[in-house]
Amino acid sequence: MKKVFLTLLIYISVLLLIAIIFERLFTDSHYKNVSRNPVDWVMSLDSTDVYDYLVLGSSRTLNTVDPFQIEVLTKKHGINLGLQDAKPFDLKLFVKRLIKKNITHTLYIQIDDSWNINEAGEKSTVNWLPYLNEEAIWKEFEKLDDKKYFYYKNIPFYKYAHYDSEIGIRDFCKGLTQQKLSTIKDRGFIPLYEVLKTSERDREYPFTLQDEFNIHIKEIITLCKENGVSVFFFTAPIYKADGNHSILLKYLPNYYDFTNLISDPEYFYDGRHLNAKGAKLFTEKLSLLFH
Amino acid sequence: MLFNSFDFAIFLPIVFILYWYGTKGNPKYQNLLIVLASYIFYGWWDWRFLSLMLFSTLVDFFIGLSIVKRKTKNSKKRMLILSILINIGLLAFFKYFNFFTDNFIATFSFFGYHFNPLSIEIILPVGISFYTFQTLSYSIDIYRGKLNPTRNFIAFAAFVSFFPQLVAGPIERATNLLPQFLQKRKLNPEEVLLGLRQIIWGLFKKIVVADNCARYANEIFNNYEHYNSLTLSLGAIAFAFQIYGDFSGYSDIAIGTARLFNFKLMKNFSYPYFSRDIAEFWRRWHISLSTWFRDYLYIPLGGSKASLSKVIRNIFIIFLVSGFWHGANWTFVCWGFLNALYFLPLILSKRNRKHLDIVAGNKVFPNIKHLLSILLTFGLTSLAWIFFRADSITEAYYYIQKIGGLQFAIERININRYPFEFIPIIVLLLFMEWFSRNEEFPLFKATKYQLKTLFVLGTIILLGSFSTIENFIYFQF
Repeated sequence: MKKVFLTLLIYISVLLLIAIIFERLFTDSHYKNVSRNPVDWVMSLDSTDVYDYLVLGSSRTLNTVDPFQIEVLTKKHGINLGLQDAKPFDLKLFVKRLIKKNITHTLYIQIDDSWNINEAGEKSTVNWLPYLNEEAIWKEFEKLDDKKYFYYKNIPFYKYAHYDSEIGIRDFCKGLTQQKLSTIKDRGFIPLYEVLKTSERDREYPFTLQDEFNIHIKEIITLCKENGVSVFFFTAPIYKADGNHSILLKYLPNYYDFTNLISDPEYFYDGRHLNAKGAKLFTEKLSLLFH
Repeated sequence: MLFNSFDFAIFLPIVFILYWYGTKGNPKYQNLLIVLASYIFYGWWDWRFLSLMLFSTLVDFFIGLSIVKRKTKNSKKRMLILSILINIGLLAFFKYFNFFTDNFIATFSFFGYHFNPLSIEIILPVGISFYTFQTLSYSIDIYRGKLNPTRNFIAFAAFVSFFPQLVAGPIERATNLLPQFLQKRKLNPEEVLLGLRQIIWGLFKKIVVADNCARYANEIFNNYEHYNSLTLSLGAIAFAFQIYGDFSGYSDIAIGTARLFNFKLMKNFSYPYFSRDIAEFWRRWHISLSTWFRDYLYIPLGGSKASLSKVIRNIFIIFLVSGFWHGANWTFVCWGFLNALYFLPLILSKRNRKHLDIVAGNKVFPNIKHLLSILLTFGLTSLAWIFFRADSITEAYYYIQKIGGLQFAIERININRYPFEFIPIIVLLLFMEWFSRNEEFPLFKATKYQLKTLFVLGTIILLGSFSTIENFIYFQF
């Protein structure tokens, strides 16, 4: 049995060694190679990258706000940092990093029924996992009081194996071959080109916002105030929205409600996302705020 | 409990240690531990069905004893029929009740008679198709005089419920497995090492090959109407390797786990995708089920010694029953029928036992003729797998029709992946299998291939699909 245990020990040691080596390689590739998602992009920005403004939010920002159009209309230079499925927790991590690196003095943040969510997003938060060893980022994850992040941080390669579709081998190879996030050249904007399906045009989009301050948004406001960053909040259009967005007026400074700005289905991709035509119209309205 | 779960990774070492170090090598205690462990293993999924397994065990244990006690052949036969009725009855109720009811109603509706559908929500107990066949083989072998019934109930219960092969086989014969429960077992380090390596190889096939292929196969089969010929063909190939990696991976883990306890289970797969014709494929695919049907159905029907028309009839019966065994859906029957059709030319030309050797012998590469035969056989089986994977015959028909549309533009699959990305994984599997086709499994040789095992371990970590842990396909059967 000595031979068995020795072999088992070799297997376990090699497994551990492989995990440690790949953990290091995969993590380093996020720091050293090209940016492959909006989080990498933000982490790669430093004080020489100065912008007049930055727009933050979920896919409802990503597909809706065109920084090139804003520049034409207002001469202001900025980028769209919309992150698919982003929740207020992700937005707070963005804001902290941007303030630390002094990237901008003006932030526009899209907020909607994600107001109700104090937990981290599932899809969006994955992009932060390679940076868990950054003290400032880990402190925020620690506050979530969710054991899984402890495992992601401390078990070598666990996060890359668990989220192999998102940050696994395929993503690593893209880094090695320098395939950067395609939207960087469009300053983060991804227009959608289809029109709301006829079958979905009668559907309403009800929502109820809780009458309670979202803890992450509250922290964002405090952080911005302390660091002299102007922050504006807005809600992008929703098709046939039916809810109490007015509650945000009570809590948020500089809040602009565009929920019911557009009602024509031709401007929507689906009930919650504008298409390219809608994004053009909305960006035009939003840019008025920049004056 | 899934073999590729964290729970099993804890469960197995505990049982292993208790088995070898807590039972003083006494087979009685070892068997008792196996029964307990197996019932925990099974109850992890749904404890309510433990009673069903216990019932099946009790029935065949007592029927087995009763068969030898009976004096006349007719009364022995009556006991055997009782065992068959109970086992097949359980299977029929849990697996086929809704299928028969739905088809009964549909047939009568066609002729203008209408019945209110009797809707009973029946949960299919995991592994019922496997353990009922295993216990049936016990009664049949006793009836045939090939086996003496055991009076050791715990050993028999361990044989029925043995957790490594309980839920998806290999379907063991009582003549092979039961005597192993009755003899003294010693810790054999060589077997433990082999077992470990076979488990690793099984995990590679499941986590790296099957689960990665599953992502493509699921997306393409679920949205086949949006894809062109090339993507649909790749979808069929992805499924062919998904089902192979999934099921043979399970079998390897099962056989490897049994080795840890010094049990030898029968081989269930033998590099089936290197087969040169469909007869060879069926000698290498799900061997425990194919030989079960051969011994307990095909040969009693006359086998290949009957007249040609009867042989053809027997072939169709075997494949249709085998298809139906897999699931209560006409798609499986169609899959069986298609395989029987593939078999027909070989039977008619009496070439069904042409390829009994290992392809290319000791050569590195096969000759062109063999290579083409392998590709043709793979193509035919992949075509049949479309019926196996599709939700309905109509869906399979349209899937194949779209492949026939001959549109070969490279498309992006809606999973943020390009269509060819799973191919290197398949190539790696085939490469490793090809150069090990003389061995039981590619990591078989202990000392020489240590590096190979370490390479496979690294591949599991690096390429394994951990984000979506897929259930083993054969759990549904």
